[in-house]
Parts: sequence; C-alpha cells; structure tokens
Amino acid sequence: MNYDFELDNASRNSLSLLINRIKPNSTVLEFGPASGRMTQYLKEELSCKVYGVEIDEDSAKKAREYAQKICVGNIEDYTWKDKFKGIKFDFIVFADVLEHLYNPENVLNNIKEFLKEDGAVLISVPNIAHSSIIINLMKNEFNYSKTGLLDNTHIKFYTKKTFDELIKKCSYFKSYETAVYTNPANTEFENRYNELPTEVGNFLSTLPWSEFYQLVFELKKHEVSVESDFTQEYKNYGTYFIQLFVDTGNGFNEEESMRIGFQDQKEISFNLSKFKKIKKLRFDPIDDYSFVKIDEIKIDGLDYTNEIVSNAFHTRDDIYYFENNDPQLYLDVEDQNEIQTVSIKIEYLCKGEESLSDIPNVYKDIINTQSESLQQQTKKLDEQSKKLEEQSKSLHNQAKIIEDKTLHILHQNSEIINLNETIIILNEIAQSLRIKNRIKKLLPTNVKNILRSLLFKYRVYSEKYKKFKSLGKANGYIFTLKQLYKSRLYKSKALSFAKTDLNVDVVETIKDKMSIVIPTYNGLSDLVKLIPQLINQKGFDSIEIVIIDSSSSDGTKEFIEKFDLLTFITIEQKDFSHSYARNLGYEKSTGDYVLFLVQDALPESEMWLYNFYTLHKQNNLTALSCTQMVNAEADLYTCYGIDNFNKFLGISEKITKITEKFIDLNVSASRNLAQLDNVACMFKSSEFEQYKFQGKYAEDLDIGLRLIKDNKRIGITSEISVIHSHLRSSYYYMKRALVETDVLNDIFEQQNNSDININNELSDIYTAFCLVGNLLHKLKKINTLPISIDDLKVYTLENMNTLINIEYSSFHFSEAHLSISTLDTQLADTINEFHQNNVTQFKGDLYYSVHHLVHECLGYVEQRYNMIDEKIFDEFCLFILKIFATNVGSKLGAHKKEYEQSDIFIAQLIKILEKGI
Amino acid sequence: MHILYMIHQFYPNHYSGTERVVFGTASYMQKLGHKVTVLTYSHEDDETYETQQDEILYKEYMYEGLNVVAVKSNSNNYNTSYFMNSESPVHRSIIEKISPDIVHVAHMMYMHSFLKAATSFGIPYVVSLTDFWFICHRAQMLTSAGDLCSGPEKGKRCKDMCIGLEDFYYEDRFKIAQNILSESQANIVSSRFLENTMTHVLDNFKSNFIPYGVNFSYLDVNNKSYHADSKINFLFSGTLTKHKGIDVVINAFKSLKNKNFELNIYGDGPMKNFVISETKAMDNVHFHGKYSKEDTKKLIQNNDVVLVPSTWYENNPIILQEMIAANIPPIVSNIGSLPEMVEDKKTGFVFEMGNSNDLTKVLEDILEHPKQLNVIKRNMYNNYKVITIEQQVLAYLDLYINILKDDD
Repeated sequence: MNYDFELDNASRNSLSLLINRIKPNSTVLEFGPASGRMTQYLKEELSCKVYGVEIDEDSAKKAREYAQKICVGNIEDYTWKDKFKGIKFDFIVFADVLEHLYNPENVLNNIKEFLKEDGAVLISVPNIAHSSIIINLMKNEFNYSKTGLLDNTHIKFYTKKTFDELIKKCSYFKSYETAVYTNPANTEFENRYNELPTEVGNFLSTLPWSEFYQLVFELKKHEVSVESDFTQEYKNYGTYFIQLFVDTGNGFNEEESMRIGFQDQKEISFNLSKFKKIKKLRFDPIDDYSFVKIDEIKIDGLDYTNEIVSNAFHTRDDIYYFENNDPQLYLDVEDQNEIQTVSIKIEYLCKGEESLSDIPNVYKDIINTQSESLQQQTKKLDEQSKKLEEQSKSLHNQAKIIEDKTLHILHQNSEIINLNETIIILNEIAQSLRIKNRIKKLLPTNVKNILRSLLFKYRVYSEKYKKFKSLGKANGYIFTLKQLYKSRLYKSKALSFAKTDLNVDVVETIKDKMSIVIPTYNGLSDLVKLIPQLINQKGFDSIEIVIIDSSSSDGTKEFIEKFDLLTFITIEQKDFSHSYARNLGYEKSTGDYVLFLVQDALPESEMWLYNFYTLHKQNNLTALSCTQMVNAEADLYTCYGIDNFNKFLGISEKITKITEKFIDLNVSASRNLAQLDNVACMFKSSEFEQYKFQGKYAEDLDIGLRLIKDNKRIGITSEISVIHSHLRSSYYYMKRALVETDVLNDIFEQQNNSDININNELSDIYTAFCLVGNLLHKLKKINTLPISIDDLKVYTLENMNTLINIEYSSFHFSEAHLSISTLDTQLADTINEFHQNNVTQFKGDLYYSVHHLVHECLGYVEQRYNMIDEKIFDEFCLFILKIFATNVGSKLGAHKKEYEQSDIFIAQLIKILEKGI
Repeated sequence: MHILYMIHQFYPNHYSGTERVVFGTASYMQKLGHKVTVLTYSHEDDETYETQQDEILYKEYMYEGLNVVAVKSNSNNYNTSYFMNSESPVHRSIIEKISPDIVHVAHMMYMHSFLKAATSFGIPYVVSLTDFWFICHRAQMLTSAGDLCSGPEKGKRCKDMCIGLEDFYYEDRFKIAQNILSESQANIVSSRFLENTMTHVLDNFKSNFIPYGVNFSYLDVNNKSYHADSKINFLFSGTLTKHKGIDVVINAFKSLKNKNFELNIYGDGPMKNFVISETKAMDNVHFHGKYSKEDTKKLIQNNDVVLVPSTWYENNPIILQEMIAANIPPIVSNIGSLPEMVEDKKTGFVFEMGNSNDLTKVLEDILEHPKQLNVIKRNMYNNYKVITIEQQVLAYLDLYINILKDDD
C-alpha cells in the first residue's frame, strides 16, 4: 500500500499527528479531504466511517472512493449541514483548512451540534510567528507561495496565542496540543538565523514558538486536562533527522524510507518488520556537511559496523567526513532473510559547513601538515609580492587586467566545476592581492569588494582542494561508481592449489636401519616434542626408537605406548647409571647404527638425522657426536658455557674434527682429543658392541679414550647441531663442576700430589664469596637502566678495584650473603656454612681470579650488546655468580679426597654437594 | 653478524603474530651470538621522540634485551597501503648508524624507504611474507565488498574491486612489489598456500619455505584417550568476526542432535554480542571472553577438538600450529593454508568453507564415534610438521650465512 504521506509513527508531520489521535472504528467528518489520502487511510487502516466536505469537484470524486459520503461545496455555505443532519461524529478534522476560511469562528461553532459529547475536533494550522517569516520580514520581504506558511490562498493567519484565543471564544477546551517544528533553513524560505544580527538571531531562536511550523490541536466540548507536548527534542528533529532508505528491489526511494529526529549521541532504532526481501539499506545521517562518528550499526543484533560503505570524503577509524550535504552510508544485507530492527549508534562531531572548523582530533595532524605547507606557500607568495612591488609602475594596467579576469571568473563562479583550473586563476589574483595596499588606492570600491570575496573563496577552496588532493593521494578513499558496480558483479572464487603443488624435497632414502636409544626419567614434557620429530625425520627407510625409562611417574609409559615402532623398557630407578641404561638400550636395539640421545634434546631440522648419518658415513667413523646449541630459554651463562666448550674442542666454526690416535698429553689436551658427547652420539652398532659404555660418570669421554687408544676414528662435528641446554642455578653449576673435576681426575689418573693447606683453601673460597657478593650488592644499586655497555664496564671495574683491596668484616659478609641469597638461596646457604664454621679470611688464587672472571663476563656481554636493560642486567649478575660458582666447584673437586678425609664441616658438605648430578 | 629486522610495528604497543615471530627470532639470534637491531614504525606522540631530522622522528629504546629503533613521520607518504618511494639522506643516516650486515624485512609497511637506503649501501636483504600485503594493499585478499579475491591480476582487479589507492597506483604498486621481491636475496614463506599464491601471481617468484616455530614454553600436550561414549569438548579461539567463521560454528552446533559435548568459545571482536545472545540458551556452549597466554595449558587440558573454520585465506595461523603441537585434533575449513596442515579423517577434519551443514555432519560424526580421535591423535604424531622457534631461527640463520657467503 502506498500513501503519499508518511504514516510511520516515527515521522512527525501534521497529518500523522492528527491520525494518531483518531481511534479505530470511529465516525469521522473530514473538512477538505482533497483527493482523499487521509480518507483512504482512515477507512482501510482504522476501519472508520468517513464523511467529507470538499470544494473541488474532481478531488471529491477521488475521495468518494473511500468515504461514506462527500459533500461538494464551500464549507462556509453550510450546505453540508443538511446533508449530514442527524449524524454525530467522533472526530471532526480540519487539516490545514481553517486558515483558508473567512470566518473560522463561525464554522467551529456550527460543527458543535455534529460532535458527540465526548467527540473531538482535530485541527492543524500554520504558525505565522515562525522564525522564517520574521527573518524575511526583517529583510523587508513577505512573499506568498503555492504551499507552506504563506500559501497564496490563506485568508486568516494565526499565532499560538491568537489561535488559543479563538478556541476560548468558541468555548472549546483543548485536550491535546503540539506543534510540528521546522528550522527556518528547512522551510520553503530557506533562511537562517545568522542572516540577522547575532543578538536578534539568538533571541529569535530561543523563543519557544519560533520554530512551530504548524500548530496541532485536539479540542473537546467539555473541559479536560490538557496534554501539552512541546519538548525540545522536536525542535532538534526539525533541524536534523536521520533517514533510512530501504531497497527492496525498487532502488532507494522516499516511499520506502523512514526518518527519525535525533539529539546528539544516541542510539536510534528503526523497525523494518513491514519490509520484505530487503536488499540494501542506506542511512542518510544528516543533510549537511558533517563529521560523524559511527559507533555501531546493528541489524537484528548482528554487528555490521565494519560493512559500511559510504560516500564520505574521507574516513578514519569510525569517523566519517562528509564534504557534501547528502551524506550516505550503505549496507548490503542481501544475506539477511528478514530484518526486524536496525539500530545505529551515531555521534555528530560537527554539523553544518560552518562548524567544520571544529575538526575532530584525528584530523588535526593532517591539517597541521596542510597548514605547514600553506605557510610555506604563503612565504613564497610574500616573496613574489616583493617582486611585484618593484613593478609598481605597471600596476595600473594590471589592475585593469585583473578586473577583466574577475568579471570573467564571476561568470563561472556560481558553478565551479573544475576546481583545479579555478585555483590557478585565483592563485594569480591572490598573488597580486599581496600588494593590495598599493592596488587599493587605485581600485574602485566594487572591484575591491569582489576581490575580497574572491580571496576568501580562494582560501577556502584552495584549502579544500589541497586537502582533497593529499588525502585522495594518500588514501584514495573514494569508492568510485565503477568499483561499486564491479564489486557487485564480482563472483568470488577461492584460490586453491592441488596437493601436487606442494613441492616436497625428495632425498634418496638410506637403507641402513637407525636405532635411537634414549634414557628417560619423568621427561614427558620433553618427549612430546622430541618423539614426533624423531619419527618424522626425513631420509630413512627405517628408524627404531628404544626408550630406557627409570620408572617415570609422569605418564611417559602411556605416551610412548601410543607409538607402534617404539620399544619401551622400564628399569628400577636405583639401577640407573648412564652406562647401564645406554648399554641396555643398545642390547634391545636392532639397527645398523645406534644413536644415543638425551630426552631433552631436539634435532635442529627434519634433515638432522640424515646429515648426521651422512657425516658419520663419509668420514668413515666409529663414533660421531655433534655440537650442542642453546635453546630459546638459555641465559647468558648457558650461552657462554656452550660457546666456551665448543671453543675448547676447536669446533666454533662449522667443522668436523676427527681423531684417530691417542697422544698422551695433559688432561685437557687428551680430553680435547677424545671428547664424545652423549647428548647426541652415533656409533656403528657392530663397533659399539666391542666397547660399550663403562663407569658411572663421563662414560662418553671414557669410551672416546678407549676408542682412540685402539686407533679408531672418532669425531665431533659442528656442521650439524642438537638443540640442548638447561637453565640451572649457580648452586647446581658448583655441584656439577665439583663432580666433573673429580671424575676427570679419576679418568686421567691424575694424582694431586701438591700438599694443600685445607684451611687456606676454604678461607680463599669464603673471602672470594664475600668479594663477589659485595660486587653484586654494588651492581644492584644501578638504577639508570638501560645503560651502555661502556658505562657498565666502568662502573663494575671501579667497584671491583675498590672491593678487592678491603678487609672484610661481618658486615660485609652479611651484605654479600643477602645479595647472593636473592639470586640463589641454596648457594647462599652453602656460604653460610663457611661463616658458621668460623672460616677465616684469606685472599688466595680464587680470590684474585675473580677480577679475571668478571672481565670475562663483561667481554662476553660486550660481544652481543651495546645497551643493557633490566633483562640483560639480571642475566649479567647471574652470569658472574654462575661462573664463580663453577670455579668454586672445580676448586673443591680438585681436592675432593682431602676434604672428605678431613674432620671438619667440609667433609659433610662435599657429600651433600655430590648428590643429584 | 649484525641483523636488522624491519617491521611496521613492534612491542610494547603491538603484539600480534608478526611481532611475536620477530621478537622470538631476534631474541634467539642474540643467544646464538649475533647482534640484532629492530627498526620499526611507531605511532606514539611526537613528544616521545628524541630527535627529528627532516620529516623523520627518531628514538631508540630497549625491549626485553632487544635494541629497537623507532621512527615516525607525519608525512602522508607513510601510509598503510603504499610503498614509500622517497629515500633521503635521513633514511641513509639511520641505516648507516645501525650498519647491519643483512636486513630481514618482517613487514614492508612504512619500511620501503629504509630498505632502499640499505640497498644503496649494498646491504643484502631477505623478506618474510606474513600476509598478502605485497600483492594486496588491503593485505587480506578480501575485496572492499568483503568477498574472497582470486588474485590481483597485476593490480587490474584491485582497481576494479578495491578502494584505497589513487587510480594510477594500482598497477604501479604491483610492479614495485614485484621488483622488491625479485631483488631480495630470499623470500621466506610460512605456508605452501602463500608460496603457491605468490608464485601464481608474480613472475619468477623465488621462495624459501620455513614455517613459524612454536614456542613450547607455554604449551602443554593433551594425552587423553576416548571411549565410545566420551563427552567431547570443542574449542574455538580467535577474533569473533565473520572471517574467522564464528557464525558458521554457532549455526552448526545449534543443529546438533547429539548433545554429548561442550563448546568453549574464547575471543573478542565485533560479533561478541552476537555470540553471547546466540549461545545464551545453549546449556553446553560457554563463552569465556578473551584468554591470556597463561591460560593456554588449561585450555589444552580442557578441550578435545579445536575448530579453525575461517572463511578467508588463513596463512599458517598460530592457534592451529599450537593445537597440533598440543595433539588436539583440528577441524578446519578447506581454504588457504588450512588444508595443508590437516588431512581429512587422518590428521583432523576438513569441511567446506562457510557451510555449517557440512560442519554439523563432521561434528555428528565425531560425537557418534569419539574413538576415532585416538587414531587421529596418533596419526597427528606420525605426520608431525610442527617446528620449534629454535628450528625456525636456525633455518633463517642458514639462509643469512649462505647469502653473506655468496656476497663475499
């Protein structure tokens, strides 16, 4: 159904206001029904019986279709009185009719006998005190038009006050009164308050009635309470409204649209239940230049905010800048079957062309850039104007030329289509205007005025143009019609590629069977990474994994049993030794090669095993180990430890080092030659069979020595590496160094013949601890992180040099103890043992080596970092402590036997330190 | 070796996937003994910068042991969609101060001038492709109307379908991209799909396939096994948008007849309210909001199957890698890189993108036969492709070493 006026309650016009008062099934007398648009609605939607009086015969014919009876004639002839005699009406309607009559008072009195006792007269009438009339009057204008406030057929004119008086005179009582508000700019006169002096304009705009465009009344015969509805909201409504167009296949049109007035920042909902098969929606948020912020658009609760397409000149985030007076936001909703409600959360940051100077913050940076470039241009213009001054003699002629051009431009001015061209012309004018003081005297007033207005326009347009150009260039945010069209036609087709496109590297597979033996204990969290990577190593026909587990309780067994190809052997924890577990694993294995691996290692790539095997085979070796690489959790000391170890073995550069002869040198050189590393060590099975591992600790070094003594070829390589490192405490490093030194002494059958003074040794350790602890204490006082490595060096070494010469008191001890205990409580406890047992002070080898160790730390840090922040600084402090603890461990380990045999506390302490390695 | 990583944004203000990868990579490179600098663009207030030279604001800061150089410019040339062509003495002086041996571009946005400056000194560079930015100024290969794009056609289709660039620039942009990628020493791709797309779209595209490494330190593994009547917990975690397919998930679960399941939804995004309102009436569907990394272990223990139902070209999403590493069977849509990570009915399940009926079928099948998950979990281990951050970085390092060797 299609009416020629908007019937939605949301829309506020005089007809909808009147209709909303009429109850269904009423008997209605309608004066001036015209062609019956209201009549039709009353009949079809409200099932009313409608009678009417219409002056125009043709219109009456049309209205008759919907009415019980239409009487043709002048209302003021009163012929209708006879025709409708005896009928009592619930409602009598004068919709914009009374102002066309000579004596409305008389008419209002005459209808009384036709009105039921509780019936009502419904009236709408224009307000002659509307601002637009007053603004025009002040401009000395009073123009009749075909419709509107000054319809040329109007005979009577009312204000709110005079109409109230008329009602009183006719002895009616108001039961409801309201008004339709319209801002003068939106009237047929299209005038504005700012056409008046500011004070007058402000005064006018604040008069309560100044924007009543039409007055609407409901009158009763008897006095009732009056419902007066003149809320401010309606006034805003008259100024700004948001209009929603609904495309149901007919394109966007006024008929299928609804509008709702708004106040600043609020959520507005539209009920769309009466529309079927909606294809697209279009919001017109305002009919003016504006910045709007769209917080949210929801369709039946679904967020569509990101789907908005607009004709905004520019958008950033959720802010839309419309540089036209018809902003539009589009939403494609074809995928929605039926829509009940659409809601929009909108905030108007700037409304109207004039207010655009209050540009939101997000644009300020752009505009700042613009203004800078404008300033530069202004400078240039200034320079040019100086030049022009020199040519002042020819000014007179130029002025004439300008005048000609001005007239020419004025011609085009009303519709500047090509902005760019205009600006070039205006630019010339503006340049000349720089010397306007000179010209001024020479130019007639009217030309001066024209130039002034042109200069103003030039500024406005050139700014807009530049903004347009730069924004367009940078963002190109304008959605062209072509794009809109093509994107509608586009049928998207997902890209996909066949499996054969996945180019997988193929290598020739190795026929030898590889067995991997891994001793495990509660290592599930590592094994879940390691095992899947091992079974997916590339290049082998057959990989076998043998797990020798020391009765783990973390679910290792259940996990391993998921894999078909894995052999799982459980041993008692007490039976475990590095040699026993590995030998057992070897015995259960069936491969041509056997690789011993630790549970927390990880291959560096899926080709790791292949490369490992290839190196082994190419070099014709009995055994091959690969270098370790730190993992991502490693700290400075861990990195240092592995780097140093590789340096010691001579494999810092990518190299495979092979030994096939034993030369009896010192411990360290022998160790260098014979080193195999059981983190990852590969043997030819047939040769391993003859040797196997022996001993409790350092079984890898041991087998290496035995092999080279038999002139077997063994190697260590850094061409491949295994990812393996631990984050361990200083205390642990001390323990490990102790055990390791002792074991090495055993393996190389070193006799420590030199007599030692146990007390001096312990005093040296104790005093060195004090030194390190106090140094750490000083370091903790640095509060200007990050600092440069140079500053750290200077600060550390200065403190070091001071501390190294002092005598340590118990105060110094407690400071040292405190600072060490914040880093490692177990280590601090160990030192405390020394203190409790009254170890004295003595500055020996260890004490004086601290200086060197700290240097070593600083040097290592310097290789990697220029600046030190909290993270690296903390690692640096631990680095000092760990490297020192390792040295203490070695010192204790070197004379472990002597300490064990002594009758002081250290014998007991050594026993504790030995455990758990 | 001194490596310079270039990235369009970085910690502490930004922490999405690419930043995570660069941070992990750079930190581990340091542990391997190399000097590292990160050069990034930052949007912070002008006052926070130390110096300004021409249009470039400049500052240095440290983040978790990493040296970061941050620049900013208020010039319009620094734009999310454009390559900046203007390389000036400022760019060169910044690069000269850092003086790297090699440049690794982790994201090209805002960085082109700096890369040009580096090449003017003869410094070799490699490029990581993390999204489609080189061939799509909107980065995601979705048209302005939200449709999947089937390729830029040397910029011509972009011009037809997508806003955001000046007219002349659509095809120029494509040529610039092609140039940068052909002059780089290596282009690293993290998924076969991305690799294939680039090969398909560009002439003579060379690439090195290195997936992103997973950081296991905050992961766990789900070692559950299932019986005929096991209740199954499903997990969706991701941004709540259409392109992540959350609506497909909800529709599919709505029509499930078998109710022996729970669905846990984590995430935030524009469709949050939709999710809340849709799931309110469903007893066994729970919306938990955002999740933090610290919750990951709990998430892995409490869920049995993960859903990655994206409707755009995903490129090796981290959540999928992590869940595969955690041995949680995935259900993925058949788009982008997703099917290359999952083989249907073998290492997980694949359904037709956007088709909630198809997803319902997959879900019903799992609920009817939960024991098949045991087989899938085993298969996942037997076809394991996840790598760790260390392995990823070692692969990068190999690449750098070879490039510098060739350079000598």
